Amino acid sequence: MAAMMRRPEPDRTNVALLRPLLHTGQGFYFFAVALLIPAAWFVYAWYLQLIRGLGLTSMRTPVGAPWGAYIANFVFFVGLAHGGIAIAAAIRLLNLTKYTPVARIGEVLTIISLMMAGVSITIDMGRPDRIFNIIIYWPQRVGTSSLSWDVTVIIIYFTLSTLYLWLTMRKDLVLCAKRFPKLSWFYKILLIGYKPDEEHKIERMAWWLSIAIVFLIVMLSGGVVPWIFGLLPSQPGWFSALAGPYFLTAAIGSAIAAVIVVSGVLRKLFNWQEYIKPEIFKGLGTFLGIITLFYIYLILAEQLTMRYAAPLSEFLISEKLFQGEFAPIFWPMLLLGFFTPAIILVSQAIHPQWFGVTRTILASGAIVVAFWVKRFLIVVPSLLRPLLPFPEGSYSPSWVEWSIVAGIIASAILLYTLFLKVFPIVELGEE
Amino acid sequence: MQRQNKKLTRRQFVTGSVGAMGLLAILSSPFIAVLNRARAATGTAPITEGKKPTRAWCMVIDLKKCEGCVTIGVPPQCTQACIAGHFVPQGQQWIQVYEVESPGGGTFFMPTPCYQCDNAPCVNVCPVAATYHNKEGIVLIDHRRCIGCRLCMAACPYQRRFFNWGTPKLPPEAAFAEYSPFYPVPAVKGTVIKCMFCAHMLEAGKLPLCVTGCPMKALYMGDLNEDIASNGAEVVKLSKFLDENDAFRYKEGLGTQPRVWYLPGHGQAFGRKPDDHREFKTPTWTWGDSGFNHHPGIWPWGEDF
Ligand code: SF4
Ligand code: SF4
Ligand code: SF4
Repeated sequence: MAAMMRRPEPDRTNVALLRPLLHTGQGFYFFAVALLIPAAWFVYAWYLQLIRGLGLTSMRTPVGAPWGAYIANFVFFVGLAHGGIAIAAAIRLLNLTKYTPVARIGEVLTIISLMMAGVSITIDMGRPDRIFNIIIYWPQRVGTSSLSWDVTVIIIYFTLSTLYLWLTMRKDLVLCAKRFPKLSWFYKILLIGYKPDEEHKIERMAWWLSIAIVFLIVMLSGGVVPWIFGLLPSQPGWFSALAGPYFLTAAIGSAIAAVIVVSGVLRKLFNWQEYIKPEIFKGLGTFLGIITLFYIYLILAEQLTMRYAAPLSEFLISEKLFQGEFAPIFWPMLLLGFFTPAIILVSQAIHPQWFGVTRTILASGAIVVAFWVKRFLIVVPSLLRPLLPFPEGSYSPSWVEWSIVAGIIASAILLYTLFLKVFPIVELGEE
Repeated sequence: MQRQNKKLTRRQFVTGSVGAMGLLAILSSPFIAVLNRARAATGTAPITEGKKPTRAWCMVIDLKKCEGCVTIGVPPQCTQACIAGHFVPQGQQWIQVYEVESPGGGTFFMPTPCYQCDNAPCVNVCPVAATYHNKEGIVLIDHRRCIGCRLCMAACPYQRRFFNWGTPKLPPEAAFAEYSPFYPVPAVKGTVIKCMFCAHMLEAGKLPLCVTGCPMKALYMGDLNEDIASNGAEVVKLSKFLDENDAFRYKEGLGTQPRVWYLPGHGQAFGRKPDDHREFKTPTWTWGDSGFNHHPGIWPWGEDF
């Protein structure tokens, strides 16, 4: 079986897979400029915010929300960061060779998302100039501060996933160095310490790394990030033992959806139909459909508990979502963003004739958007409605916040594009 | 072959144990948290062996005497005294007076400073120890260290923390103040600020500004160690005073162990009835225009820019 999958003509394959590196057309420049504009606008908005203070956002205290779109964006990107590496680690540990072509697509997504998560949280800080205080006072605070745990795990996670990507890419870098003599100095730097017989060792290291990463995924998305919220008894709607599983499911769901979208786009763009096979979309899509259904069940469990809860504030927050100010985004998110795509994906699995790659990609796209909205709906309503009977505020992001969020997303896509131009995104064959 | 096998296992062992140790360290960090919390929860006032007794500051607020300053027709004078004395940025009320509806109908007034919780959620979550307990049990903020993450604001169940959303407009005198966590003036942009029990006054042996500012003498500053409290007009034995007046702490069930006690009432000491309809006046500022400038305009080149 595996032998049949192996591509028969390695050279033709490699030429096809190196297409983004070999040809740079007009389209690329248009695309890059189209992304550079929001990215530059984001830098400008951030500059304004640094000069004038966080007051330019719509966050307010004491009446209003001390956190908003930036934190939602942070949680979203941390969630996205799980897909790629999770898929890559699963492929390695469970021997799912079928999915190998999308492994690196996901790994790169992980690394870029983590960077963007870091940017989001830095922008949210009142004093980004003091960010290293977290490291300086880490030993003192790691005991009780969930934010210190967060920084720890994110740094470890970033290091390990970058290491993983680098290790598993070395084989392809050798080929690249051969093929692109102009850039070979660059590849040679990355290939430091290369020995032709290193493959076996790298395999073992990658295997161990996979194990560590799988643990870290649970720690990060099923642990420290939800614990920022879940350990605050003062915030109804956050304080819950469900927070861990809830966030973990969301992270894996959004990440897989994003991997499907990115793979789908690349497949269309570079005519990789032959290499990224429909079965990959089918498998991932089915998994995503199940995860999304499970997430809907978690939403149900959460909301039901809140509506029956003794503290009135819990009920009032649930009410805000069901028929209050957030209802106009909550219901579309639930029905169009989660329910419909999940039904599409699952019915495709049950009824193979209904399967379509484009349909899978569109459904996944809807799920990615819905997960951003969901993060927003986790962060904001709880902050607006305090535990105790204090006055309630309102929050809708200002243009500065929207510019920065849009700019961060644009920068993420831009970084991804640049990666495509320099490194092979699908594992190359032998040469 | 044999040797090679052995080598491999040893390496596996080393990698495995290092990995396991790292993992254990990460996994155990929450448990350290549990231990720390437990310690904070059981510890009451610090016991000292030195000659000079350590203070354990606390506040008693007599709601029988607090009538929101409506009977004299002014904004709450505790809040005003605090604002004037600390150049409080416009919009922040470090001690805020709420008009609360009684379950049995009518209203009463409730001044709320920071409760200086013994088991303070805000101290627990701060990633840089910018919020900390001093020896005398006061929760202080070091604005030179705070990174402005606002996790503590989400953690404080009483909403007693405020954020400086920009550089506040303050009267020029404020610039001459010498900053210390005891006297956080002038307010620092991008950091969290709150009531600090007037630590600067206590250190000088004086009563907090809100205590002296209250015309009804409803606020008492006390010392749990010496078992004494004063509102500036009388000195009472703290434990007896609390006991005889059915003192309670706000939302005791949250487990934060506040250092502020309330004596139930609705201003009856001054003849206020619960259904008194005289209007409560909100505090005023002589500086700061409309608070922090939140208006870049629709676009950066809009009118405000
Ligand atoms: S009242 Fe709030 S800010 Fe004050 S010590 Fe307690 S938790 Fe901290
Ligand atoms: S905002 Fe400042 S005081 Fe509050 S938790 Fe963050 S660093 Fe600590
Ligand atoms: S104790 Fe001082 S800082 Fe606190 S509310 Fe009273 S006057 Fe303000």
